[in-house]
Amino acid sequence: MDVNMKMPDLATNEGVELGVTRWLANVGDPVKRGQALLEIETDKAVQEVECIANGTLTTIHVQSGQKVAVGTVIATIKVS
Amino acid sequence: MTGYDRKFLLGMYERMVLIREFEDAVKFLFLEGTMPGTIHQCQGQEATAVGVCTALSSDDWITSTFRGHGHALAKGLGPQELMDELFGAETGCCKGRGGSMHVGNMSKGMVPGIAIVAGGIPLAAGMALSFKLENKPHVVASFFGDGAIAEGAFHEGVNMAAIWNLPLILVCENNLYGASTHVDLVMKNSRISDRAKSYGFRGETVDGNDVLAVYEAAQKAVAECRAGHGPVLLELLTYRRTGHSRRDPCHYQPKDEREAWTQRDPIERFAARIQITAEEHELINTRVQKTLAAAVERAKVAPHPSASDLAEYVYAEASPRPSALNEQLNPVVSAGGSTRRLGIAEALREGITEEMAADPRVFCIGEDIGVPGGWGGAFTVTLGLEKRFPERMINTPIAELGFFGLATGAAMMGMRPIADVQYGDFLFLASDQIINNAAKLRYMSGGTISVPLVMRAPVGATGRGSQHAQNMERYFTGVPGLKVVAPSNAYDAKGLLKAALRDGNPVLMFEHKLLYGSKGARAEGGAVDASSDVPLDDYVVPIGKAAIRREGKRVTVLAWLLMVHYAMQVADELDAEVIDVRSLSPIDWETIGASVRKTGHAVIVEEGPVTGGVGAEIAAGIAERWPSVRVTRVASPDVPVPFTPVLENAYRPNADRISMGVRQILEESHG
Repeated sequence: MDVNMKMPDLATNEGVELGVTRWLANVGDPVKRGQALLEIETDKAVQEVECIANGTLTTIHVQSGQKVAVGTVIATIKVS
Repeated sequence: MTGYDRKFLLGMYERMVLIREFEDAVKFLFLEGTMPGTIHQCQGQEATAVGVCTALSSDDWITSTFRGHGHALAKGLGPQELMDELFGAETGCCKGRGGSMHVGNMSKGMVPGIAIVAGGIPLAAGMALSFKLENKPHVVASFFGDGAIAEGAFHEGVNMAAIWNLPLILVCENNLYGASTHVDLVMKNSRISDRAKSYGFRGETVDGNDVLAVYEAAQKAVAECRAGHGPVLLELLTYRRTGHSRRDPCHYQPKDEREAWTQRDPIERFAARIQITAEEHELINTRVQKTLAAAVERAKVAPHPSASDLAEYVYAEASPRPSALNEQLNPVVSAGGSTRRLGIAEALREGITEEMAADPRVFCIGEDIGVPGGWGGAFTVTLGLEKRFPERMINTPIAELGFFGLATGAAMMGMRPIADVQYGDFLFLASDQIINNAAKLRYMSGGTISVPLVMRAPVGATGRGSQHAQNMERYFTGVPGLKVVAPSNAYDAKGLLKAALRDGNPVLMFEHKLLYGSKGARAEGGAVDASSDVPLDDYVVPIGKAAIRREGKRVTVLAWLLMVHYAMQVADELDAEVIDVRSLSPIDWETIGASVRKTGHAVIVEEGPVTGGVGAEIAAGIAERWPSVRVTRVASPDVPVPFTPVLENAYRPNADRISMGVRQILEESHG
């Protein structure tokens, strides 16, 4: 089963886009729920975002340096 | 592990795992963007909730905070009702009216979370007071964080719990941070349990990440409370492994500190201590995961309240008592002789006495009440009642925030408290408990709580300067969940008091210092005779009904308290219809409407600043309903109440100013 992970609503102000600073895992890596999966930049701070499922990171939809709206799918995890 | 049944230990373990996994599941739902609102989570603090609640019986109680999911699961609320509440569903434990910060379930002994820091402590003390007054064996555990220690509500609630040996366990979850501020920055002595000694009871600091240590400390505290030796303060040292709220990345927690506490994780430590087997862990973990997965799926599709139900659960339906009562709108009493002439203070005293005699749940709580040789409150209303009801005249410290919280807590448990302040101005101190708790708890709980609390407050400018004189009606009339009355005579005072005690909602009664008819040392200069013929038979004056004091044709004068008397002085010469508004919330639009449609002119008379007063609300209400009616106000100017008599007299509307206001509006409309 694939689980789509969305950009979390961690902004202080409504409607701002959040940027992916860097990914902390590569496509194909096994990932665990709760591990730091990527770093994002909000209007307030740079912070880590935890992985929401156990499985394999199959797709990264938003690359480092890109900004997207809250709720945009940023990664797909194949749940084992 | 000697002395403990394996099943008992595994039960505690499973409850902690359930809390951790529930919180993680919720966290990821937020990350996904599927859950509304905000959250305050308790990962890392599972042992405090489970340790304390395991020591309680199912009919004991807890109060909680905005960080209450763990407390709820530990006290026996189900993950489904909790998850549904977080999703704002009608099937949630508070029918979606509470949300994450206010989870609770009265049928399971948990008051909805009180999200005002320390606000739950006086409430819990009041619950404990009710158990003591009614000889019930229950105890209350009140959870709060380290941040609560700096609040006045902590001091006031704890002090009263100490004075009266209340069965209250004060559970401080010290997780080192109030939001992002470290405890060392906000207290000179950060050993919180030390405070207990200064109040005269026992305090203890416990490793809050050791669930058995917490359980044993709580068990001891419960036993002490049940034996009448409460309260007890438990300081549980723990650590929050998550942000204060959902967007908090916790950058203020140093990395080495986080890691050190991770080593002391309460679930892992307990697993090691009881040497949990792989099979046991697997069984528990699978069960918890399955339960939570099902709860999430169901919560996502759970029915939401209909928008048309927005105003449901604001007020409780009245709970009438069996005795038949006469409902009389106006003081129209037969001359048959079954009445006496009483002043307001005497009539209130008589009403309180009758109610206390008829109903053991009624008690008085306030300052300087029930002191032999004392005043009977500031204006003699409760004079001598301590002789007849020594157990039910609760004389408090000077602590308005605290004892209004106690009164609210006791009312919530089914008592019928009458709380009074010496001067209405002091209600500002009590307003958090009145507005945030007493008025809102019914709504926040999805209609499961009733707060049948009667509050009394003297108002009016009477030679005491700015801080013992304000007309406080304006500050409380627009509060949903609260009813407000303001009698101008003794008949109404007694009748409204009795109606308030039967109402099932918090009712605030304003009384005017110049109308009491207080005698002796408490007599007021400039007093106005507000005495009435008060029947010997039982009666009530219903809340929500105005009274026509004089019928007239040319203009409607709307007033309450002292202003009714001043308006009456000029009513004849103006041919005015004088309405004693009397119930300020709710307002009797029917009576007012009938009059203003007839006269076409409304003059609202209010003691107190003109801007933002109750008069503004009445004026707007008339303008919206009957736009052809001309409206004006006669009120005080926008200044604090002055002391010097010449200015005080200029401040307070009088008969001349009322007359002038009326003449002006009549001339304008005819000119």
